[in-house]
This record gives sequence, structure tokens and C-alpha cells, in this order.
Amino acid sequence: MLNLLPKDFTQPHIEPKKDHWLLPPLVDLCARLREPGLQQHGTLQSEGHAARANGFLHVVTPPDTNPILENGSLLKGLRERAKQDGGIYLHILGALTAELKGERPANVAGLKKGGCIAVTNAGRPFANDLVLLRTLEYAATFGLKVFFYPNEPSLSAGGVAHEGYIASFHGLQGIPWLAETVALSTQLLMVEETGIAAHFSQLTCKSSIGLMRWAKSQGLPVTCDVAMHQLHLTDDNLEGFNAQAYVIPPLRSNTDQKALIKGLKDGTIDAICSHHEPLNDTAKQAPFAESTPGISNFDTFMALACKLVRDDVLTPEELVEKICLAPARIAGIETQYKQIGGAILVDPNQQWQVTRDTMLSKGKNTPFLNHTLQGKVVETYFD
Amino acid sequence: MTDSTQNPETVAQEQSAQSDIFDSTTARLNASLSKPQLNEDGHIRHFLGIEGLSREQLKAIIAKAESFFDANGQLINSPELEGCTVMNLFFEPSTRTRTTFEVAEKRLGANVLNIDIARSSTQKGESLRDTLWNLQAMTADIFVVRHSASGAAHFMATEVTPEIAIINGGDGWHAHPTQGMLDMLTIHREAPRPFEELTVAIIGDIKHSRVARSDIAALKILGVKEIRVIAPRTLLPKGIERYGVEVYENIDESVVDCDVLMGLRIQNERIGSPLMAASGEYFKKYGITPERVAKAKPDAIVMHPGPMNRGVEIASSVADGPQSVILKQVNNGIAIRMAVLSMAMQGQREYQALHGLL
Repeated sequence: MLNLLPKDFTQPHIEPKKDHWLLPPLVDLCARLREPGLQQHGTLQSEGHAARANGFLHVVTPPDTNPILENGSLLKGLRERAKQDGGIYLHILGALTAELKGERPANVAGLKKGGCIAVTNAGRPFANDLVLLRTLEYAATFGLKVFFYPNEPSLSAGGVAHEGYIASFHGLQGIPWLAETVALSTQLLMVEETGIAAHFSQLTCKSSIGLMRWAKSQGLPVTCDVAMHQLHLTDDNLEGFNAQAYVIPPLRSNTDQKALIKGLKDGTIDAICSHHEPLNDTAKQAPFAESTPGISNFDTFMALACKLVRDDVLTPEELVEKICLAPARIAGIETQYKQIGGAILVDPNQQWQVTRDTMLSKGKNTPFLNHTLQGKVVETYFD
Repeated sequence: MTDSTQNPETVAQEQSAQSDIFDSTTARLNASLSKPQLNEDGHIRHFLGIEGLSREQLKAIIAKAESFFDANGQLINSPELEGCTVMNLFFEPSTRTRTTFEVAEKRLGANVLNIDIARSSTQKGESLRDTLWNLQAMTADIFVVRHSASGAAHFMATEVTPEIAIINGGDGWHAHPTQGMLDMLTIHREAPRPFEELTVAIIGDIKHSRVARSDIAALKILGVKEIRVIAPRTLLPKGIERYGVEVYENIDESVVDCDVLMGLRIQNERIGSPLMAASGEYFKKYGITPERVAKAKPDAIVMHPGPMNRGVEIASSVADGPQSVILKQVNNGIAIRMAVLSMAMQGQREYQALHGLL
């Protein structure tokens, strides 16, 4: 057994198992559990259980629920319910702007008091760059970190797939790289100006990795993550109008995927998130562009993580850094993470089939449905 | 999803035929898009797209369409769909396509129903699947469908009503296969030389055009000598270099020695958008004018899928001139639609007989 628990973690009393890995609990930097407001797709209970059984004890969630998480007094109840009903520690990103409309700051001081770990506009647009600048200054006043999902709406409007041959071939409207890199450039310059600590989530393009490399070399207080599926799927997976591969930001090209993997290895990309977005069946039962974007990722996450080790992208130690330790640091929950402790046992060789029954998430929306994957969380040792 | 397992030999033959014409990615995409439209014998039971069909299959459609002309070149009636119910589901407005489909259906003796979707249940929030299932329960045999979403016809054929023959009347920017085939029938009947010897110029908005995609696929499968596409960069799709066509930005150079000039419609909403300057400049740089037609071969033909913007993409004198075959395209559209409707119904019957569904 490969024991990958950090030294300051309490060791569980278990019989060592041959060829298994013992990891600290996973920390997810972006998952949507669909509560409040979208319970047809998932609940704190269904998605909490799915998260927990797949090794995620800590989950960071954005505020674009219904109602929007812009009121500090809402947060405590939500965290308690996530723990009670779902058995997970929920870490909430508060709204950066009121109603996420991108016009004026939300009550971020109140959100901080309510225990949000950072603020974000959850991928929704800002009215203009001045609003962006001022809301960042305002959030920085209260010592809050900001999460960005870079996207310039005027460049991505109407798009449903990476702008390239595959989209052209299928007659699908493209989303160019520029939609991400133009927004990322602006946001990095704003970070430089305001000094606010920032995390960039779900980067997809080669040029974004170059921009992050530059920002880090300048000593800007920035980190970034990539969604697990971006490391395993490309726009090729849209073949035949496969709505299960419809996700925003979109699956990119082979070249982008190689750059993401390089960035992951050289440390430019700090972490891997699940970008879990469960959806009910009806959401995907429409022509591609009229279906709802999103992939249910909790259940396949560890298998895809194991593949990164098998493919020599990461060592097991580096994997623990990318899916446990770095996310805990980025979320600012390190102390709590260590105090709560826990461990998960992974069989990196176990083969299993992704089916509607083996998936624990309420959302069965994944392009891996009916595929055989290798690697699974076989036991969790949580409080 | 319906399992349309095919004879492995047929699949292998089709894929190798495709990989001679297209790059490997395109051949793979073609095969996977085409698979749901074929029955076990390789006959169409839906008509979703031209991509993935073989030269023989396209020639069979052309031959079937030609059988609907009498010795004087007049369209005949042929009651091959007697007792069948065809529903025309136009989720997007259309005059020409819808009318020619209706004429074709009536000439085949079918019961025809035009469902005005814009004013029906989808406006009340009913899902596309529920709408189709309700129409299926009203004993439809064929759906002719036009939809603004690319892949809509594929979605219906694979996930909603696989036992109804789906004829794609245009889906988003993706495909307009009956237009593609009526263009091939027109070239076959009107062009001065056989497909293998032709140089074809496609001029205009390639990026947003389902007609261009279907025409390019068909022309490649039929083995034309050269396909040239001419457009400003804003109207060319990403990855155009992988379509196996020659890209030109200068129309005057591109039309030299062409046998076929195909204009494409510029949609009104594109004019004055960031994609192009005023329509006057477009006509100056990309319009099909008598001077440009004169640079092509003397017996070249001029085509346009309609509706035309005279003075924007084509000069009136060319549209109405001796080399124009635009009205013949419309007439050929009826024959092609008769052919495709009849063949898909036949293919669907074969499929259903084999699967015990009849």
C-alpha cells in the first residue's frame, strides 16, 4: 500500500492493502450541488453522498443558485444541511456583485461574516471594466479572495463548442480561445492593479497557460485549476452531436489539452477540480445546442485521476498535491482540513463500468456512460 | 438509442471509400453521422446528411430522381407513397423548400400534413420530444423537418422517433441534403461535362451555410476535379483548410476556367454586422456579375439555392441570363425530394420488416 497521507494527518488503523493508495480526503474547487433552486438535477443529499463516497469530503460551490448566495445569513444553514444531509463540508463562494448582475458590489462584508471562503461572479458578465475594477477593490478591502471563470461574453455569445474544425463540420457555433484569454488578460491586469488574491478556475486553452505563467513570474497572488474532464476529452468527443460532451467552457483541441497537461506538470496549474454539474435526463434530450451544458463528474473523477498517474502525467504524490493539498490551500481551509482529517483508500487498478446504477450522483450526464474505467475509491475513513 | 447495426462488410467498404476522398478525421465523422440513416443493406431509411454516403448511393438518388421525368422532361406522378402520411414540420420559416416538398409528396400520392410549429405546442413549452411523440401517435410515416438547431434531424432519428423516416429539410448551419442533391442533379443534367472534369466555384457565406456544407460533401463524393470557395475571411468556417477545397479571397482569380458558379445567399442580418461592410462593397468584391461569368468557361452554368438578393450576391442580368439554371434547380428539387422520400420510406420498410416492426 502506498501511504500518501501527510505526516500531520492522523493515520487510520487499517490493514495495509496491496497495490492500494491511502490518500487524504479530496477537496473540490468547483462543484454545483443544485441546491437551492435546481433540485430536479440534484440535492445536497444526493450530491453530498456521491461526493463523499467518491472521496470528496470538502466541496467548494459557486453562488449561482436560486436564490443567489449573496446573503451572509443564508450560508450557515446551507453548510449545516450539506453536513447533515450529505455528509460533506461545503465551502461557499459568495456573490461578488448584487444578484450576480455585474453592476455593483454585493454585501460582501456580510458574506464574509457568514463564512464565505471567497467571492465570485460565477462566470456571469460584468457591466464594464470599471465595475470589475471597483468591485475587486471593494472585496479586497475586506480581505476576500476572488474566483474567476474567465469568459468575454461578446466573444462567446451563442457559442456551444470549441471554435475549430469539429464545430464547423457539425455546423455548431464556435467559442474562440479569445473568449477566455481576453477575459483572463483583463482580470490579471486588474489583480495586478488591486493586489487582490485571485483564483482562476477551469482554464481550457494553451494561451491561458502562457498568461498564467507570466502572472506567476511577476509574483501576482494568483492560482489556477483545470477541470478533470479537460485532461481526458477534446472537441473530438462531440462527434455525432454528442450532447453528453456539451459543457461550458467547452472541450478544446488536442493542442490545448497537451498544453494543459504540460502546465499541470510544471506547476503552472495548481489544482484539478471536478466541475461537477449534475443534470436530469431531460436536460440532454434535445438537439445539441438546445440541450443544457454540463457533465456529472464526481463518479468518474478518481478513475480519471488514476489514469493521469498511469499515463505518467503525475506521480501519486503530485496527484495528492493537485486534488487534495493545493485545493485546500487555495480555498483557505488548510487548518480545518487538517483538523477534520480523514483518509480514503483507492484501488488504482480496479476496473468498473460507468452505468446509471454504478453512478451515485443523481445526474447521469457523462460522456463516459457505459465506458469501463480503471481506478476507484474503495473505502473512506471519515469522522 | 436505436441500434442500427450494419453489415460489417458494408461499413468497411463505405469507410474505405470515404478515406480515399476525405482526411481520416472527416471520414470518421462522416461515418458516424451517416450510420443512423442507413439500414442493414446500406439503403437510406432516414435522409439526414450527404456526408458518409458513397458515390453509388448518390448516383442511385440521382437516377431515381431522373426516373420521375418523362421523355419530354416533364415531371410525372408516381403513387409510391399511397396510403402514407407525411408531416412537414417546419420549425423555421421556409417557402421554397416546404412548397417543393409538398408538391413532391402529393405527386407520390401521400397524405400531406403541414404542421405550423411556430404557432403550435412548442410555443406552449412542450418539449420537442413530446411534440414528435404526439405526432407519431397520429400515425405519421415520414417527418420532413427543418429546424434552427444543427443536429436536430439526427436527434429525432436517433433518440426520438427512429421508426419514422426523418427527412432533413435543413438543420442550423449543418446540412441541407435535399438542396445538396438537387444541386447535384442540376449539375448532372445541365453542366457541360461529367463530374470528374468539373471545376466548381462556391461563392459567398460558407460559414453560416448548410447548403455549402452539403454541396461540398456531395461534390467531393461525386469526385469533381476541383472545388473553390470564395469569401471574405469572416464568412469562412474555422478549419476550412480541412474541407479539401481551394480557398480564394479574390473572386476574379477564382472564377477563371470554372464550369459551375454557385452563389450563396447573404442573409440580411449579416449585412452591416461586424462580418461585412455595406452590401454595395460585398457586391463589388464578391458579386456574381456578367464580367465575372465571362471569365469562367464559355459554357459554364450559374446556380443559386434561393432566395436571391439581386444586386447583393448576384447581378439580375446573370440570374435571368442564358447561363443561369436557377429555375431548373427549383424544378429538380421536386424530383430529388420525390426520390429521397420514396427511397427513405422503402428503406424504413425494409428495416421494420427485418426487426419485426411491421
